[in-house]
Amino acid sequence: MKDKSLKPALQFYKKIMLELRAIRGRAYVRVTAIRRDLILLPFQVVLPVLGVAAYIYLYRFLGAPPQFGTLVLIGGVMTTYWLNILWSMASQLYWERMTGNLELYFLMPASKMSILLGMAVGGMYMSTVRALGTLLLGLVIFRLPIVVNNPLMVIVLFILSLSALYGMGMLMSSIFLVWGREAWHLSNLFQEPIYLLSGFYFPVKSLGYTLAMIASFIPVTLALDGMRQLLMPGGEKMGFIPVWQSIAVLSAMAVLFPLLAYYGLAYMERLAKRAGRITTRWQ
Amino acid sequence: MAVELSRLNPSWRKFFVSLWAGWKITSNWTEPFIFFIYLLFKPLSSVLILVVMFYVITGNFSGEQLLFLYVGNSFFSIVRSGISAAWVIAEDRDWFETIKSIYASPGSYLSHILGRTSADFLFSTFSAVVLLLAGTLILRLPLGLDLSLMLYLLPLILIVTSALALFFSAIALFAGHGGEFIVEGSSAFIYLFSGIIFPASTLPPILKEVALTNPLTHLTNLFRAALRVGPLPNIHIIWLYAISLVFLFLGVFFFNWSFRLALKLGILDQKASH
Amino acid sequence: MSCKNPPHLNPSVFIIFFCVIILHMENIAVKAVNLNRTYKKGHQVTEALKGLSLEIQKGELFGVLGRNGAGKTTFLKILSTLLYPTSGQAWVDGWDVVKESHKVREIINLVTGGENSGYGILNLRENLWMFSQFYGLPSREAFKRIDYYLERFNLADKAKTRVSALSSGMKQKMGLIRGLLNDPKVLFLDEPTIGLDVESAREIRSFLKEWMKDSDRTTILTTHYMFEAEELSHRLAIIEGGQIVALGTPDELKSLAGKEPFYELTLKGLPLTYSFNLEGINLVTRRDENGMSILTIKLEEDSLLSVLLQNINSIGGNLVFLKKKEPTLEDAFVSLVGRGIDEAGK
Repeated sequence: MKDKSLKPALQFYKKIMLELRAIRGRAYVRVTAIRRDLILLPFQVVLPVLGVAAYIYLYRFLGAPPQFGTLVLIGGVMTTYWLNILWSMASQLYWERMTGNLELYFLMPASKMSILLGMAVGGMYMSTVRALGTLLLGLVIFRLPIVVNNPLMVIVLFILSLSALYGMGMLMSSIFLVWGREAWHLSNLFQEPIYLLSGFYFPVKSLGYTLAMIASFIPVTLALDGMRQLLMPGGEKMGFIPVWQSIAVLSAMAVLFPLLAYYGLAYMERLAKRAGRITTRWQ
Repeated sequence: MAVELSRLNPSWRKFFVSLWAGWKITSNWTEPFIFFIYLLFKPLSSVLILVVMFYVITGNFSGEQLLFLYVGNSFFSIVRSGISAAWVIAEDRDWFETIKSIYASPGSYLSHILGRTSADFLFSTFSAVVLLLAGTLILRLPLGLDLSLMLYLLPLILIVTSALALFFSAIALFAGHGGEFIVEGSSAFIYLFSGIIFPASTLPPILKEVALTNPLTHLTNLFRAALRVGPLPNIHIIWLYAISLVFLFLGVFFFNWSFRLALKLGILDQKASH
Repeated sequence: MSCKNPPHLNPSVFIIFFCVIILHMENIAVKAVNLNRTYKKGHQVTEALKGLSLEIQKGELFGVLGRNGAGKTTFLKILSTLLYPTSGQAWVDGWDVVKESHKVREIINLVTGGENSGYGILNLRENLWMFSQFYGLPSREAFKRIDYYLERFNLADKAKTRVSALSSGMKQKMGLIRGLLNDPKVLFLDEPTIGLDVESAREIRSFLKEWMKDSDRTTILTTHYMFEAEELSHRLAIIEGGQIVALGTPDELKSLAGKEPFYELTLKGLPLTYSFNLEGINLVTRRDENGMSILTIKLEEDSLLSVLLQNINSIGGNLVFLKKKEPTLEDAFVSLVGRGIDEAGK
């Protein structure tokens, strides 16, 4: 029986269930990976926390006030997500092409956006485990000062930040596909230079208005700036733009990036089918 | 290659071929984009992060603390090439799928790792020189050079870097699809416990003991001394050579043991993608 | 243009629309009209398909035979929506493969020999479940199908083994199971038994025959194993240079090799340079091994055999064994294409 004979409501229900199952199926791989690739656990969770500790000790060495530890801690938490976006989102479709999975994704009725969303959900789970480890270090061992005056705003900002960030990850994923084997060089390019530009370990305001403005095109910049204002004692003085403005821009990014990713992927798919390159590995 | 390699013993041959391959892969001068990422953008960015952190607190671009962390970080950019060997496994196994053919060719796989690491070491040293020059010319850092000490020191850094490469590539044999986490996590460990950006003595008591036992801490200080920005450490360079060679020997043992185990488990070319 | 929505005015479009209505009436699973596909790399242009037209009925197991580079895989990729044709149109179960690709994807699946899909970190059963989710299967139903197929392909004891630890043959079977999970109406198999051991390949062939007993299913199989094509296919197309050079049942194709008698001669002492310049006598294949030459000869009439033997004797060749044989699919292929299926080059 063809779908056209089904009632629209039933068709819609079937489509929604298909996409939800596709998201769950792809996310499952990553949720399982954190249990199975146990040798990576210390490298993913324990050791990076030491990196955050190193920056906290550096600020202490420089005689900075204690809230700078909180600044580093927030940077450390967001580093987790940023690394996940670079290494497990942006270059992922290229990986999928190498292993032959991309061809199968183009063959399936589920949307490629659901596959990307599944990767994002699984990636967020993996990263949140590490982010919690970092938070624990900061709060329990370093006893860093944190103020939560507006918990609702913190939650809204955090959710919007992740949505915008992973939306950007989806967009990068389709763009990176064009670069082929050079994709991971791009991931490398977007690591330390973005730590610098987005102010992972210092207030972005210190880079000056122009640079901070340019950096604001990367959602993690505004996420860091907003969260520091909301969670750091005296953080509002270090802010680049007011939190409500960050929320507004991140909301727009959370819509815009996935939308661009959708069109980008559709364009890539058409291009690949026309050029006959979608199924050719090693390009 | 112009050099006649066929007369060499297979392991030396593999070492030099991998050194050449490392040259081609990491620092391809014909692809300025890749060259700039690895040799300039990444190391410059990581040191600029520290410079801005310093500026945020002190409000200027001079002082002993800046000198301390700037030189320490330049040293770290060389040592990091050892940790990056975890990437060599990821590349061979997952990206280029050449791990089986490299292993099956005459000469040990260990030579291949050391060859690739030596190439990275050379490029990282170049990056460090660029960073130090930038520090001298732009930030006006008062750097000097004790040439004889530096000449004694460089082989020592290569030994330690090679040992690190063997340890971390051995671990990467068992980790699927996660070379970047090994590099990043291990870098964090070394950053904290080697007196790179702050003196090890400022750490809390237990952590301080760990840092002072770590030969890298003394090597970092020796590097500072060679650039005349710090005193000579209280440990003789001969001792550091002895400790580093023991470290390298342990690295060889650990790598060979891990490699045999990977073969025994049949996971050498298994890609645990997710 | 949609195959199901009448377009406007253009007469050729009207004709295509008319074809589509007939297509439904005629119970056609796959239809291709004048398919062309070219690949461009720099200044080099390769024509993979040249005006290929074909109809495949529902319930058919249709074989596509051809040498490497003949256009088989390109044809399958176009039908399975992975590649656009440069020109021409194709429909699967009435849906246009370009304009209605989302509809086509719901009812098809593609399995490629040597497939290495999935994620190494998952076990076999989990990996298959994951793929089932991309087709929207409820988990209970998915696991029921997975367990059935794992049992059917003797992989039940490997259900909990990580994909990264499976042998290539097991991975290939996993690929086939993946292709069956959504119970496709049209299944595309691209060299599904390539590289498999004899037993596993036989197991897959036997399964396919059983699976095709459901008359609603259609399978399109590309292979260059002659016996596989002959054993499985209801009908076959031989493709060469992107075009169909012959189409019919295996028996019909064999008869295309000619009604003339075939002989297999085993000879000793036949010079390698010996050429057949005798009228009415055609050399189909020659194989030299262990000092013997095995020739397949097609004669216009039986009486020419004595002429041939005299000629061979005169240059020092001795007949060891002589057998009259029926033309095989391979003979037909050679006769139609001009060379064996494993021979490369133009």
